[in-house]
Amino acid sequence: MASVTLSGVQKHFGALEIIAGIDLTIEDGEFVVLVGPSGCGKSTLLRMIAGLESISAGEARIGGKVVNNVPAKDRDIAMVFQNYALYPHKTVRQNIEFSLRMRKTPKAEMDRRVNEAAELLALTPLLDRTPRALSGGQRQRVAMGRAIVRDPSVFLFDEPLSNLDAKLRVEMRAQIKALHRRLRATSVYVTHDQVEAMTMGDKIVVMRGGVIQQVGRPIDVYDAPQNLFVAGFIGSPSMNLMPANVDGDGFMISGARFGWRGGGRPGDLPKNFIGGVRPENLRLVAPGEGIAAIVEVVEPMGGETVASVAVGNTKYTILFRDRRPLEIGDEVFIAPEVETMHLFDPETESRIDRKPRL
Amino acid sequence: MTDNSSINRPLGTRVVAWGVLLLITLWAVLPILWSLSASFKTPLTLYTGGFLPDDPTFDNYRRVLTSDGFPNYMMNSLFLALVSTAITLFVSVLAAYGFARYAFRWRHILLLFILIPRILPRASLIIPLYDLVESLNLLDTYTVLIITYTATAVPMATWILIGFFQAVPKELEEAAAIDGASIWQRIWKVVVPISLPGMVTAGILSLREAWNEFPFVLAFTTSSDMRTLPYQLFLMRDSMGITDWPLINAFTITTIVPILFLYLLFERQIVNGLTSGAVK
Repeated sequence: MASVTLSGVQKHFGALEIIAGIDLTIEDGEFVVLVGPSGCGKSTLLRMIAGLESISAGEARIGGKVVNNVPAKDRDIAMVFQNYALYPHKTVRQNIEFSLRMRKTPKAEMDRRVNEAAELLALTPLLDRTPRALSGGQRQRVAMGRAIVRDPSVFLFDEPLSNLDAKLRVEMRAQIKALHRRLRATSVYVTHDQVEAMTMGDKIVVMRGGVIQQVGRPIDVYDAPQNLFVAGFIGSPSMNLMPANVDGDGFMISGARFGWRGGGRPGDLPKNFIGGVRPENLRLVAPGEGIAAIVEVVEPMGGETVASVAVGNTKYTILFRDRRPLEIGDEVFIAPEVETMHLFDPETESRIDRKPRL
Repeated sequence: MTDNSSINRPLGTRVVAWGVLLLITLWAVLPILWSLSASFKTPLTLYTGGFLPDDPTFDNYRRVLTSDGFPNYMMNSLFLALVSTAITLFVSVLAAYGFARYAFRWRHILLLFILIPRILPRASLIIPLYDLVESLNLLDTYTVLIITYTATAVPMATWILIGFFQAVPKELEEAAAIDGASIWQRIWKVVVPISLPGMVTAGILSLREAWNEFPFVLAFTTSSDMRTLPYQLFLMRDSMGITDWPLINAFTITTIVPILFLYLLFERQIVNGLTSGAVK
C-alpha cells in the first residue's frame, strides 16, 4: 500500500498542453475518482501515474518515492483497462498469473494466489477458458483478477465499466467497491460518468481542460460546487443554471420576483448573478406566482418524473419525487427553493458563498 | 451477411463463378498432377496411354531415394531452409516491431529501402556477391548460403509482420508492461504469439524460398557435398544424355513432399480472428 503524490505535474505534446500543472495527494488506502468530460486529461493523468506516459514537468511520487523515471514495470502498480486488454492467446489462469510469472514467483505460491483471486471474483470455473469464450462481464472480472493477484501498492482503473451494459455496470460498481473495502488498496479510478464518481469515490477530483476544478468528498462537491462547470457536471439530471439579478431586497429570474428567505440577502453579491438550482429543488407553484414555463418533455420513470420546461429559449429540468400527470404543452409556473440555491458570479464563474445564517 | 449472400444469387451467376474457380484450380493443379502421374510411368510409357499410368511403378522413387548422395542433398536443403528461416524470423520480428511501434524520421523511406534486395533481379546480384564472398573466403560454405537466404527473406517477412504487429492492440503491451514484462518479454510473449498467423505465413514463405533456391547455390558452391535438392535436380537433367523424365518427376515430387507436409501441418495453426476477445 502506498500514497500517491503529484506536485506541479504537467504534460505537453509539443506546444499542446494536456495537463496544466496538477497538485494532488491520494492518501494510502483511499479510493479517488478522476472525473470529467472526454479530453479533460483524466486518462492522461492516470497513464502518467502508471508510467505509460512521460511526465513533462513536475514530480510524481508513489509511496514517497519519486517515480518520474521509473518504468511502468517497476512501479508496483496494477491497471484495469477500459477494453480489458486480456492476452487473447492465454487462458484465464495464464492471464491472471502472467504478472507473477514475470516476477518469478514460486509455482506453489502462484497457484495459491491465482486460486484465491479466482475465488474472490467467481472465476474458478472459467480458469481454463480463453478470453474470447467469455462474456463482457466475465472479461471484466478477469481484468480485475489480473490486477488484484499481485497485491500491488496502487490500483489504477481507466474507465473499466464503460464497455458493460447498464445492469452489469451497476453490479460491477458494487463489486469494485466491495473489493476496495476488503483490500483497502490505494485506488485511482478514471471515469466520465459522474454517477460512478459519486457512488464510488472516497474523494472525487473534477477535471476540465487539464486543470483540477474541485477536489472533495462526493457529497461535499455535490452540496457546494466551486464553480459553474462543477455545478453543471456533477449531479444527474444536471443543475439548472438560472440567470438572475438583484432587485431591492429580493431577486428576479425571467421576470418573476423572489425574496431572500432565512438569512436575507447574501453579501458580496454582484447585481447580476447565476442561481444554481438542482432539478429536485425546482418546484411547481400556483399560477402567477413564479416563472411561466411550457412543458416540453416528460419522462415518467415510475417512481419519479423528470420534466423539461422552456422559459423562452432556456430549458430547465425539474425532478419530481412522484408521478405527475403533466402533458407536453402545458403551461406551468416554477419557483426555486431559495434556501438551497447555489450562487455563482457570471464573470469569474466561481461560487459566491453565502454568509453563515444567523 | 456477406456469408450467405451467395445463396440468393441466381443459378447462372453461381455456375459461372464455379466454372471460373474450376478453371483457375485446374490451371494451378494440373502440372503437379501430370508430374505425379509421370513419376509412376516408365520412359517408354510416358507418352503413350492415358493421363493415369496403366501400370504404375515405384521404380523411379526407389532410384531417387537410393541414388548417390540423396540423403545428403536432402539434409543440406533441410538444414539451410530451417536455419535461414529461424534467423529470418528472429531478425524480422525485431525489425517489424520497430517499424510497427515507433514513429521515426525516414520511416517510410526505410521501409521502401529494405525491399531493394527483392526488387533487384537475383542474377544481377550474383557477380558482385561472388566477388564479395570470395574476398571473405566464404565460397562453398553453408554460411554464405544462410546469409544470402536470410538477406533476401528478411524484407518480405518484415513487411508481412509489420501489418500483424500493428494489429496487436497497444493496450496489451501496456498491460504487459504494468504486469512487469520488459520490452523483450512483451515482444516474444505477447506480440509474437498473438501474431502467430503472420509468423507462420512469413516462416513458410521464407522456408519455401530457401528450399527452392537455385541461382545462389549454383554460383557459390562447388563441392558435391554442398548440393541441395534443386541443384541436384538441375544436374540430373543436364548430365544424363537422354532425359529420364519419369525419374526427374519422381525427384520433383520427392522434393515437394516435405514442404507440402509443412504447409499442411501449419495450415491448421493459422487461425483467423485470434485476437478476438483481447479487447472489448
